Amino acid sequence: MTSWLETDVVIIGGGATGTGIMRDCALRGIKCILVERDDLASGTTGRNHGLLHSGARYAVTDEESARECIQENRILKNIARHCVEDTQGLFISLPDDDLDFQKSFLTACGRADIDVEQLSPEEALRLEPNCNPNLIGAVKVPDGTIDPFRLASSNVLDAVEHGARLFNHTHVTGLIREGHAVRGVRCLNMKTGEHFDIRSKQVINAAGIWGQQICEYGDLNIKMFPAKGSLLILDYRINNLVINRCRKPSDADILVPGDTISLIGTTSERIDYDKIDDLHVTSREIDVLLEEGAKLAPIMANTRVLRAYAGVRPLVAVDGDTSGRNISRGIVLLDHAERDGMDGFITITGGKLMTYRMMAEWATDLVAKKLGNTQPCITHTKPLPGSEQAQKKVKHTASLAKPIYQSAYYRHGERAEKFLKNDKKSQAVICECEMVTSGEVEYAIKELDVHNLVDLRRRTRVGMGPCQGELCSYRAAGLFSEYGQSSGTEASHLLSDFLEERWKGIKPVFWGDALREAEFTYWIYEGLFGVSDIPDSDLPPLPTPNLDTDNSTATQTNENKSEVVS
Amino acid sequence: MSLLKKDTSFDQCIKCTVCTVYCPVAKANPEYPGPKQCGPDGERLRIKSPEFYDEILKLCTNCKRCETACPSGVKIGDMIAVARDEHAKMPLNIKTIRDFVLSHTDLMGTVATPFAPIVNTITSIKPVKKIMHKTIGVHDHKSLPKYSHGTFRRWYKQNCTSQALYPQQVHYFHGCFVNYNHPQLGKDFVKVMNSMSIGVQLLDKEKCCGVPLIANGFFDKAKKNAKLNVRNFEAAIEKYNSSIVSTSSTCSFTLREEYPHVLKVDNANVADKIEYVTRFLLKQFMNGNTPKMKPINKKIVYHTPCHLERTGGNLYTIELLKMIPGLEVVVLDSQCCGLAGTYGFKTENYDTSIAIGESLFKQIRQSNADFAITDCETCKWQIEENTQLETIHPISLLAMAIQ
Amino acid sequence: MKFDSLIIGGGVAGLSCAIRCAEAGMKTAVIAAGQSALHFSSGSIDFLSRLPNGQPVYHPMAAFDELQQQSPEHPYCKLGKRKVQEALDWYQEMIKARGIYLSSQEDEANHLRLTPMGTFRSTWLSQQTVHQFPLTNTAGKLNHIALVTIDGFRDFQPKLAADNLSKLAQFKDVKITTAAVELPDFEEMQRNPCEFRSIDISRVLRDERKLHAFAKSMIQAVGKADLVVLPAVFGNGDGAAVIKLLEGLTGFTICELPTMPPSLLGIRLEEAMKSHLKMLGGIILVGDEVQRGDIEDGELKRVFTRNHRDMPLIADNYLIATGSFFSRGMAAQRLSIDEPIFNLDTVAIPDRDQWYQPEFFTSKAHPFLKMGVICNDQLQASANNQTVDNLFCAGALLAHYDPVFEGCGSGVAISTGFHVAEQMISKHTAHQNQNNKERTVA
Repeated sequence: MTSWLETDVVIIGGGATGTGIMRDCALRGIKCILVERDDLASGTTGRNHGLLHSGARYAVTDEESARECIQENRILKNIARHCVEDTQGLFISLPDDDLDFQKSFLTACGRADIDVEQLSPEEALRLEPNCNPNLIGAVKVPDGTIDPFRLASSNVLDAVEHGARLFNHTHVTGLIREGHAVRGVRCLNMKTGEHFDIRSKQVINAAGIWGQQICEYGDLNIKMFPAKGSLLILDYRINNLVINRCRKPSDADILVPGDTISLIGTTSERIDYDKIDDLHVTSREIDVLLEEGAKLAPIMANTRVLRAYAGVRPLVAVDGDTSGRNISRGIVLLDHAERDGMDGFITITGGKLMTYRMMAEWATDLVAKKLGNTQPCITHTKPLPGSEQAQKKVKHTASLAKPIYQSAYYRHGERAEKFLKNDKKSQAVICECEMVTSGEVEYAIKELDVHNLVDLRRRTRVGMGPCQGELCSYRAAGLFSEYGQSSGTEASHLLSDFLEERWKGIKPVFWGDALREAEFTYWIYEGLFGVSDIPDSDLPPLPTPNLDTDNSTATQTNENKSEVVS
Repeated sequence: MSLLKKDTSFDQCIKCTVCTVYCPVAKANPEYPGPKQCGPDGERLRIKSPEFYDEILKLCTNCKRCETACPSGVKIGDMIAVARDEHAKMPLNIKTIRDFVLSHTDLMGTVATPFAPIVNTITSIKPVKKIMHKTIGVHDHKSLPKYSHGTFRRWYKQNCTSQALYPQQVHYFHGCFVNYNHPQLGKDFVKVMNSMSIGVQLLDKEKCCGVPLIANGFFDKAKKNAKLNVRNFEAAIEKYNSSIVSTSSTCSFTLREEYPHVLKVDNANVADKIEYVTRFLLKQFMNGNTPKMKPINKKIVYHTPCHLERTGGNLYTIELLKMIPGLEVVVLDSQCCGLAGTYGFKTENYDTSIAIGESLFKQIRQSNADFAITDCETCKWQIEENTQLETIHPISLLAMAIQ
Repeated sequence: MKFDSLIIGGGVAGLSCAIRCAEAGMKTAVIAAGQSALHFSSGSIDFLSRLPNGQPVYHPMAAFDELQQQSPEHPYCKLGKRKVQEALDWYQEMIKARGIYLSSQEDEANHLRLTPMGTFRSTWLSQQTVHQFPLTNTAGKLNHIALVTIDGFRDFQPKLAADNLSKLAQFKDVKITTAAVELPDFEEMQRNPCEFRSIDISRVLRDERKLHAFAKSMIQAVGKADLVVLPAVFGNGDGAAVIKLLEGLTGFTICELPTMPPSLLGIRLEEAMKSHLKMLGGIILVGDEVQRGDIEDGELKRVFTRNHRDMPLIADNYLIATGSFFSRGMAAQRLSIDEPIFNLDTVAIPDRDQWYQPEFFTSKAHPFLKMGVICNDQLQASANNQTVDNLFCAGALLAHYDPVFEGCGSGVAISTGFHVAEQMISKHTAHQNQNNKERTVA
């Protein structure tokens, strides 16, 4: 007997777009459920620069995009205050760069209504002492940075507080079809192996690059061209302003500060669609990132690299256009009722992280119309949870060290008060690199849909500092057994899974202090702790959804039908 | 002038926690977050935003034992000191006045010296000490150091007129302690040098090395002093190209290491010439220039000052002590005495200071030694006050041994 | 500054060599750039737990022939069984004089040490406070094991260990319980939540009055048990005495469990070795590092350190035992690996993507752990393919063995350190005899 749930809208995909739609729907009173196969922002949303564009990058080649960006930039600085840092940015010209480009750059920005300011090299160096002292020109732009994990999580928090539901670690294995209409999705809970259905009036495919597979469930055709981009994370913030290269977009020309680190990106490499879940950062990419990055900030050459990661851009072929890097990263909104005669199903993809809210608005507008909902969109004015209270003086908690409560507020805004309690147990520090307390971990496990250490890392930054989990993962795993009802063995597996996940990003940069740290971690967890000998997990093995045969072709009847899915 | 770059050694920290094991303050005071959090962990956060600076960093004594213990080469002590320079706020209250008085040694020394006997008496009477405890916050268990009635420099000018006649010369940075509190040590130094046919030259001008100023947050004044001292070192070396020697382990450490690393004052032209006295002496001994010594048939315990351990200078002191005939040398376990300059005088730090030094005091009391020997003047005060064992400088002991 | 032997590196290998040299009356100094890897170790001595091909080893002494077949370049093979045994016996005796009783199983088999995950690691010698689980009939006579932690101490999670341990066949009939004991003065301790490590707890429990209170709470929290497993939160030199006292107060048999750093069990060994060396007249130069040395005509003439600058340290014989990558004995750049002080010859290094296995917890062993300095059978190092006669190498810096996979880290460190010392001693004696002869002749 397959159990089932019912709602107005099912959203597939827990990235920025999906969670943005979830919030928009919920705030308009539309009942919705979001289904995410892994965790919030585990896809492209969590694997990019984290750049809150000013739009300046697109001013020269794509004024439309540029305008969209600067508008959303201003909105996000307002509603997502605790996810955003208004760092400002620089576009620097180096001796090899053509200053004429800077001229056209300035003009284009002006046309797109982006406030820019031309600076002398001295002025630029004063603002950003670590940028390349050989620069010949600079333009200041209203760039900022945005934490995609916090963003997705806050959107979900707001949505859930307004009646929505989230299922993470849940795979969509098929669409429920009734004739030429989609009336819901088939789901597989990856933790329990349980299958269930969600019946809905509309289904929104916000699965990014994975959206192609979702469309295939409905025998619909959209062609996606995955373009891999790799980035490196540096040990600390070597720059306080975003540093861009003032020239035509190319590899590794953005150095972005974010929370306690800086990152350099990115590259662009077409990969086969079947490789989108098997990404590797290559030596060549690392060489390029290091070399070009050092041109933006020479200090990068001597800075410890913590890890490397890659994401996939969801580039969609629109009208057959499929060339190179300069495909317009335009937003693609497909009403399959119109396009393909398939009612109840829309796809939203393309775009970039910082236009998520606008994309969400468009998608929600579309389904709202179909549902006859006339509530206005308020996502551009209502602050997200955590950004609700204006930047006030952080409350001094006598019993907590300053860096601890400061970090908590930085990450969660006023919501930090939910876990900054005056009891010794909750004040114990779990992650010393990023200052995460036991209370924060408890809050994340109990209220932020955290099911494993990797989810925890996204919500709280545990394991994202220089030690990459060496000091904190054991402590955090223990808390899963305490607050998360994991058995001891399950918690032990969470630990080893987490260290394996961290290892994936350390391998490509396995030299210098990253190697030292990993060796140290290995000595402790393998030599001293014997992690590789932990008994098998109590949980059933992870089900592997068979994507080819799970396409639902049978017509759904109104009775509960038990389906055996292989 | 080279642009002294910001220290990024926190990058090398692999979070091994060893520094926290060896921090004497963390051991004694649970309020102190420890060197790991105040140093490399905290630095990453402070770079993100100065808002992450925690005033609790003032509990660090700057003993550098964390650096001595660190296997990754992280300059933990330095980065805590620099963070205090960059971020600490000096509150406008009476404790700051106290800190000013305790750290501006040249000023206080100049003012107090003519009235030394009166000042010394007043600061040692019980009611005055109790008032100081309750108001400015100098703990009443502490005895403030006594001022000498007449500075070392004055003595030198009056009595050392023919130093230039010696075949070899050495420059002497006497420092505040010798100048204002204990000229006898300077006199002993001159005696030892002269017995080895080395003449002692004073610098044209010198100011306090700056270590109490750094410890109390008066960085601008410390930098000013540093620049003046470096200029005078340069001038001195022009006159005689020889070592600049100090009899204080902390002064020599500060002049050579803290100037570039914490104050960002460039001393590259003179750093190699700055030596702690026992290093200079040992080199002389190794080259055959040894004074005639008569036996000192005493038992001594040697205490390694924190800053001397940091620079490895204790090796020379110990070798030197072993060369004094008849002397029974017991090297105590190396640990912090707890005074840390001006730190332990303060009411808010006194208990920590005593807790830090407790096991050292115990060892000394149980040793049945005739003297304690140490290279640092504040260690001397702390040991004498808490063990009642007379504590003298290796040079003073050497002076005793010289015919 | 002149010495008979100069040891670069203050870890197990360096200290073992230094102690042996000092025992023989040589003027010995150790230069240590920081505290050693003992601070993260188990405090047990691993002899050989696994052969390079993955086969577990039950009787290390009997495994030498097989080891010779599989890995002839292994440091143990260079030394030979007799010398390794001699070194380990010597170490055991030496550390006993310092109040640390290391023992092995009577049948010369390895034994198992319990880990914080409730798994086991095979080892050879353990300290008196560490319960030795035998390889066969592991649970032995135990009916009830209590895994106990200190309330608020994050570095031991007994629930994980209990759950995993209970799944082992040998433990299916053993009752396994967990408990958390309140630490006296916990409220005050936790004023600073950042630093609450094993070392902080040990300082509290040094106070006898507090230890008594702790004992009382322990009895209440635990109830009954055949074996009480506690994390290693007891003192440095006097840790064993504190545990004995605690056993007396509670009536429990206590097993100390090494967990996250700092390792008090490891520190105990280090403190013992250091004080033993000092007692023998050895000198330890802490917080200093050798920056370069002059190798001339196949001999290391002198070294220069950061602290002593232009004043060289000169010795007749030198040992470099600077450890692995995390101790900075070996340095890995993006495209190369080297020994950074003297640029000694190291084992051939493949491309970087072959330094490691794809999985972190691999069944195969990570190649980088086997990298290091290559030596001849006398453990003499070489530079530019020329042997440096008076520069020896020992410990984790050596190539051709994997201390984690093979479970032989401390065994290799002790035996190579000891063996180098023996060579230094015979060279020193020969040199002295030569001098005496010359003097007699003259």
